[in-house]
Amino acid sequence: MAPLILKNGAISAKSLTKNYGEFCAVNNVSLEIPKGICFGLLGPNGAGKTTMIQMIQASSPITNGKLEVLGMDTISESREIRKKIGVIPQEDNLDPDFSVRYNLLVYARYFGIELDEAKEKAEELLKKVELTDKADQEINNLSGGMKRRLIVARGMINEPELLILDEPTTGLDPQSRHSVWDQIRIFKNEGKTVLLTTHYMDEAEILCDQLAIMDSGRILIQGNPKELIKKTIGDDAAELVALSFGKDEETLNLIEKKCKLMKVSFSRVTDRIILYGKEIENIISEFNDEENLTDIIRRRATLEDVFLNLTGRQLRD
Amino acid sequence: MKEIQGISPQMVYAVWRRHADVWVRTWRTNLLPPLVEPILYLLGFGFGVGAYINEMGGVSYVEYIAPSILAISMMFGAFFEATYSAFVRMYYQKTWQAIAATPASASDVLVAELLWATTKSVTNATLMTTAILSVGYVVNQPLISMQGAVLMPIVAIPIGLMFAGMGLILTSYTSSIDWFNIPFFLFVNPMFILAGTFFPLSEFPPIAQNIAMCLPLTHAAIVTRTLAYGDGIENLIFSVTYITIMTVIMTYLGVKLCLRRIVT
Ligand SMILES: Nc1ncnc2c1ncn2[C@@H]1O[C@H](COP(=O)(O)OP(=O)(O)OP(=O)(O)O)[C@@H](O)[C@H]1O
Ligand SMILES: [Mg+2]
Repeated sequence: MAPLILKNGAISAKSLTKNYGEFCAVNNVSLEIPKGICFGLLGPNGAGKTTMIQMIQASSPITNGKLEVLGMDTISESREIRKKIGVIPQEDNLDPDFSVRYNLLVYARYFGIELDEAKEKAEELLKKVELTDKADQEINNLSGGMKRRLIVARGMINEPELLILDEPTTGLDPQSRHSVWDQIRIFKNEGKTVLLTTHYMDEAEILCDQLAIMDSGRILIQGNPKELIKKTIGDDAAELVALSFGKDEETLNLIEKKCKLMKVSFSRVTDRIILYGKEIENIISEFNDEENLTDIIRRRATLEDVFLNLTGRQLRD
Repeated sequence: MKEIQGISPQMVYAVWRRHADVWVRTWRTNLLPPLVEPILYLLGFGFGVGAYINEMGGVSYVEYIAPSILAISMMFGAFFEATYSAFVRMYYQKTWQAIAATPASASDVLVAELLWATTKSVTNATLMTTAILSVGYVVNQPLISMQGAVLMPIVAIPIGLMFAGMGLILTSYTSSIDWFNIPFFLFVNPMFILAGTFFPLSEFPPIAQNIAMCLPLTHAAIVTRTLAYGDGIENLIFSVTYITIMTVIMTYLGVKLCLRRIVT
């Protein structure tokens, strides 16, 4: 399928490749992200998500291909691009030498924002992420969730048109997580574009209008989350759970064999096999009385199923 | 690539301001400690050891080491900042990485590091000059000339830049902060003694003299000494040329090698 060319694309990558020395971290990726949507980039550890983001924020040079952000070229117009985007990095890099408020003011300076305006903007953003009470605190006195919220606020100091968030909710409690989600929704409702990476499939399903699943530097599949589930997995899934972890390999192996034989798609995860599609019942009926299975759970298919099915179950480094 | 690495004066200033802001916020802990050690050297060696030495290089011992101590404090100001402190910002605090997502470029960040390290060199020179003038006033023996005193912060600029560049070269290479101890103990500390700072080069055997003439601190000390006494300026050509060339090479290499490390 030829990549869809959209006139008003927020991000447009054509045959984008990134090598670190001999190692290829992003391999010939083509991607069109239209303006005004929330786009999710999913993939196991080491898939190349952060590498993609660093190229998109025009701070890491591309090796091959073409990459445009907000209609500008990442090579020749990198400063202009960075002026118009907000980045929430994967790693906390707040300035521990400054207070909460001063972190925002110093950051504003890099965007050429005048002090008075920056002060106003900082108060507004601190209120938005509910950190007004902490404005004069040192960074080291903040909890993980507060730091994240502050980084989100910092990423919006320049009123960006595109917000890029690299695993914005990793390690957050449900309250902080919802707070970050709210910021993303508010931002998107202003008609602006969001690009985010996450390892939480529920998060991707809830927030993203479109997403792509990457693995080993390539995009495996791309589209609307609901449609992706329907297309690759179908509506239904069932989990067959082994009795004791490790010991009942045999039973699971047997089920796996059967699935392959009957061409039923499945994922195998530690103590269980997850079955997908219409033929589920055929397999279940066969193993219904298997005493090495503790549980058979029928449920709706989710994005996590798509993810596991596509990227396999082996751990990544 | 060009754009990612281009230099913008406004951005360099913004990054420099960040470092200056940190310094101002913690000035109480920043202002005095760098002065204590050199002043102890001045008093301890200058007056203590100096009591047993009639003269050195044609002047009293305390007058001999006062300009040396100025050169040393210029060196440490820049070198320390471009190594340990820069590494903390790069590696532990991820300050460089945070700035990389703003309109400032990696080159802006590195040039700002050089300028900030040089600023430290200039502040050290200013503070030490003031301290030396004060000590001179107290003992009623002007240790450096007034013209020399005024010029010290100015020559701290090229001298600071030279050592800042050398620092960045090390920072581009190091894998851990402890590693900096190696160049400090093997290079900086020996240079401290070898650079004609505490006794004149002419006392050295010829081979040691030749080695000393290759060391950057030797030339920094020649410059501060000449300015402090206010004579023999015309003999500075060699040292000034040395410092100029080294400054260009070291800052260029420092930025280039650090870029290679951080822009991947
Ligand atoms: N600066 C670098 N030099 C060399 N290799 C790198 C560099 N940055 C990333 N890589 C490698 O590129 C691959 C992709 O890394 P990347 O950080 O983009 O993955 P990711 O999808 O963000 O993973 P995670 O979910 O763990 O954050 C990894 O194998 C990583 O080791
Ligand atoms: Mg990542």
